[in-house]
Amino acid sequence: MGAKTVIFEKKYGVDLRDFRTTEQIDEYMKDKLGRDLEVKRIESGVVTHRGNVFPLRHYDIEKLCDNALRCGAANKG
Amino acid sequence: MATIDDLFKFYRDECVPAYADLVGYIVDKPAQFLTEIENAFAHVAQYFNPEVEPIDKEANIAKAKDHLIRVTLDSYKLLWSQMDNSLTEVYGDDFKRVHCVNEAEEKFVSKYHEFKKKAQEARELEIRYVGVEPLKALDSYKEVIRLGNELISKIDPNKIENSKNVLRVVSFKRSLIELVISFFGGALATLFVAFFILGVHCQ
Repeated sequence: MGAKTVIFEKKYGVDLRDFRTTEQIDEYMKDKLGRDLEVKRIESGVVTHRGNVFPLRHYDIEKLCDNALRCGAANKG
Repeated sequence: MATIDDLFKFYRDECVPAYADLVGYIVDKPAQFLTEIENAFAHVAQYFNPEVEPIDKEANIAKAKDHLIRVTLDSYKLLWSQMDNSLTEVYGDDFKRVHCVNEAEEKFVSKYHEFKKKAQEARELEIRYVGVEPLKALDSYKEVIRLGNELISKIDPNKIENSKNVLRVVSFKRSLIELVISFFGGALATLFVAFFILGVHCQ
């Protein structure tokens, strides 16, 4: 028997059999929303904070590397 | 004892649908999910580590599955809490409850109470079977989500938006009336002082 969602398939008019991984869900949502999904910590009293109690930080790794390389090149010059 | 096939079957059959439901509702990625998947992955990596003893490999698969079970339940619980926030906002507001729901108020209130009661039952079931049979509460949580979604579909977002304008107008009118009343109150008090108190002194 195939997996079923409670609301996702009905809400978006899709069949979950077309999705094998969470990554495919992300891709679908990205297309639907026209933006990347943002990682968010949902505050709730019913779920314990296991494994990670630190605040989330967002990095643009490509930009960080490019900036660092540019600074390095400028210092050399 | 769980096998690697069981683990991935559980991922496909329960984890992915739970994730889809949550992400489809909040339209963002829950950080809690990433943490659990990262932990599960660490155990799966140990399963494929040639230096690990077979008995420890099995233990790692069991631990990985525990993380997936947890994240599946947590997805429905987070979804429930998000729905609860939206529903409580409407339920707790007399104006929105009456004017922004496309259903009779009595029916909405009764379903809201049922939503709360079923969530409580699911939570009790989860706590009772924690560590023994953690998936026992899964269907109960799904039932709560189904009910919550039915209730949310009755809330009219356009009416909610309009209600903000109506409340703004009502609030403005109230302030205006209060201003007029206080103005006339002040004028009456001044007249009272002028006629009775000063009048008595003049006599």
